[in-house]
Amino acid sequence: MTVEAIGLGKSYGSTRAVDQLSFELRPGVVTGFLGPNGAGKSTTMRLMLGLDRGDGVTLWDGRPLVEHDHVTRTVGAHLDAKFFHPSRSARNHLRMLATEASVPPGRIDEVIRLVGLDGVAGKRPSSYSLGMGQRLGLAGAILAEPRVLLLDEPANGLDPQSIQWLRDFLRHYAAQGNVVFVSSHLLSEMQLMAEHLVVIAAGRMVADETLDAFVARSTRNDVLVRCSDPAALATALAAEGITSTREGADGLVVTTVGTDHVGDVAFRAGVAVRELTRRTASLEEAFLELTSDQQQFRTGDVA
Amino acid sequence: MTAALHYEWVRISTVRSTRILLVVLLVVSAGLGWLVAVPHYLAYDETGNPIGPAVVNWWKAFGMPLSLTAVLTSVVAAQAIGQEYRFGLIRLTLTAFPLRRQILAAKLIVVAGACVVFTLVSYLGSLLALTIRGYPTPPAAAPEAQDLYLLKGVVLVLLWGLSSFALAGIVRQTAVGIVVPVVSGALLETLLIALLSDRAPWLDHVLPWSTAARWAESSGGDGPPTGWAALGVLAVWVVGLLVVQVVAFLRRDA
Repeated sequence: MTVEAIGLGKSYGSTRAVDQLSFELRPGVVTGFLGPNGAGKSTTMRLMLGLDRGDGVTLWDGRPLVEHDHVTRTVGAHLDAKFFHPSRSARNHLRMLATEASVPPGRIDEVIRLVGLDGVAGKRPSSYSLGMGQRLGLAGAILAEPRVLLLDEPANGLDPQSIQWLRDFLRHYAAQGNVVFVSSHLLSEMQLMAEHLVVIAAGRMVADETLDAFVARSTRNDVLVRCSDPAALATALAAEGITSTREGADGLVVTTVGTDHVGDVAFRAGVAVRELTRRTASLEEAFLELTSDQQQFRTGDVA
Repeated sequence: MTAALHYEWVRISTVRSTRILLVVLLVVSAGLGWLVAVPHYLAYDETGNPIGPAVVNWWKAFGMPLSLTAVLTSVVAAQAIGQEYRFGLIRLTLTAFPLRRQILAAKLIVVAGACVVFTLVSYLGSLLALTIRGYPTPPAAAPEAQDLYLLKGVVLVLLWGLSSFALAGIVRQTAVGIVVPVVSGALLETLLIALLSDRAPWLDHVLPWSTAARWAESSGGDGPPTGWAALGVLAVWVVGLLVVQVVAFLRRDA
């Protein structure tokens, strides 16, 4: 199963919320969906599911969703932790969702146990915390064991243990040959979970590549060299056309070449090297850098 | 379609308010039926002694609770679509059933079924009251043309419920679906008819809910529509509202 989103677009009045987004989701990997607030992530997911009217089409195994026999066996979506009736018990909520694909009652109990709601499944969910709502939403999404999971911010409100469980679960689910597409603001979690990224800002595509390739685009990937004579080493590097900047008393930072090259230059210049480190940007640093000029809702500077 | 109907059935039957409303309806219709079914005599002699056997307003015992039945049914009907939007469930529903016309048809069928069930429960309450009073069967000397009385009641509640469903779906608000028919029928339409009777004397022939409130009368003649004609006026409005709702449901974002 592959999912192809082709030319997705949506306008609200004069605002173009999603603009010509095309990407492909592949099975076997967790694909992260990133973007600043208001970038259009939730709208994109709704467009994919046909919940919002807009431009473009999404093909699920080459066909629109309406042409699939059992839709809930094709895609399971969790779009919000509060999408339940406050007086319908979690078990009945899942019974309702189970009807589309005739999911057996045993599977409902299995899913309830899996997400850790077995103690409260018969109670009304009006008093559920955000985290419990997330668990119920996830239970509904995986109920019919769909080949595609679409999850919008599923880790919001979860405690650290639950986040770790979610990460392991989604990686395992993808490893079984399923498509997992998940948006999150928790970039550290996304770095541990996703192998591929779709990044959007202001409704437009910023990146559709592996997480490693995305992080490699950051200018914060550099080489730090601490040495006995940074001035001499800077001169030697400049002689080879390599720009460096000072960092600390005995450090130099180089962004255009790797550690081997810097080490060779230092050796030839007769400078003693005390530390030679390749520094890689985190996903958060890369994301902030690559989307910094496209934030819709900017915050003020902290004094 | 079977799965969509099953989905809607589980949805409507697993909300506590549906069951509570049914119990309330049974109790209240039995109570009202009990009050209406007071035996009385049709004639008295000069000394004040009754002539002939005591009778009850047998049919009225069924008709009296129908206004309440319509209102309680409208709660269930409006919730069937309004609460989907209020709690965001419409997005789960349309993800599972992306063919919108199919799930809307299922909703309509289940709401229509609920209207019929609610009316029958109301009738059951009335029959219970009459049975307790000792009049389980209609009197032999019942007025004419009452044979379709109960059926008209079912049609009234059905149309009322569908109008609530359509209104709640159009504005995506449960409360609007419940309140508008009641307020319009009991107040606004009456006020309009009174204020505009000179300039628009035809108003009392075309307004939906106040016209439908006259369903039980059988005066006929040149007056405003009654009986089946009154229900026909409401039916035309309901069809119009449903058309608007269907178009909105099919075209709008979830």
